[in-house]
Amino acid sequence: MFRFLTIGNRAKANSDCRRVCVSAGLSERRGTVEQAFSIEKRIEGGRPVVVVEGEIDVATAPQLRECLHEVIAEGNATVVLDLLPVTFLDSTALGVLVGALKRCRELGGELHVVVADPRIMKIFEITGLTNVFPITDSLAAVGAA
Amino acid sequence: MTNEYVGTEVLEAGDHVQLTFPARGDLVVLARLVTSAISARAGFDIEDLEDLRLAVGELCLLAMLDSDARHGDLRLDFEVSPEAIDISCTLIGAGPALSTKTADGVEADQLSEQILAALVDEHGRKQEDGSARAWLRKRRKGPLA
Repeated sequence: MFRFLTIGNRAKANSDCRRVCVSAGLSERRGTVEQAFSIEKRIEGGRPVVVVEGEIDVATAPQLRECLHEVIAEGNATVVLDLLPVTFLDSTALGVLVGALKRCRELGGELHVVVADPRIMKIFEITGLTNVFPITDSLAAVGAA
Repeated sequence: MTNEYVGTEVLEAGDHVQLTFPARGDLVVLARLVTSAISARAGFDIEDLEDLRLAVGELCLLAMLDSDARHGDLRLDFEVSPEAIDISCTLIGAGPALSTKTADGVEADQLSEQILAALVDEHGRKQEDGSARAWLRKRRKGPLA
């Protein structure tokens, strides 16, 4: 039997940036599970950018869902989702992204996804979502689009 | 095929590894960690290892999908053979689920099935003896060294 422990869980807020961190991974010494994950919201070029770092899976995807819904509910029809620091992504995460995309499009906007890691891009490709999301490999490319 | 694992603890054909843990989303990371370790020890290359890590996460999701997994356990069985690795994930001791739709309105099993179909050679899912079981088989690219 394994015991779960959230190593870090903190939130801080200022005017245009908020960061929520949850640590996770495996510590044999302490018998705990730690999983790296963080979300940062910021404004770039007048557009909301959500930066995710670490692993997005069934455990962490709800936090991403909550963050994206919050940003869209603030009146942002178009959102940029920066997945450049993401190291793992599963079907739960894709479900969250599809849900957020629907909300953006209902408001006449778009959910731009930034991905460069071939392992992450592969998941979009095998699920056919490269034809659904506007995907670029850098934030600068989103600005140029 | 290149065996990236350089350790001395190598799994051989006929070896069977079993991992049981509480069926909680925040513990699925354990399944991925163990899959990486076993796949490497069984002689799969880094690309297959990444595929199996993702695929096993999806197996766990599929096993938990049609059940109220909160009070159950997930049991992973790894079987190494000369031509393939067989992995099954069984949910034990859980009640029926109320819905298979995610909070994003996406049918939860569609993306998982797509991912598994792309990453492994065979996969399936069934209910048996009151427990849900999802399984996969990934063949080696070449003969076992």
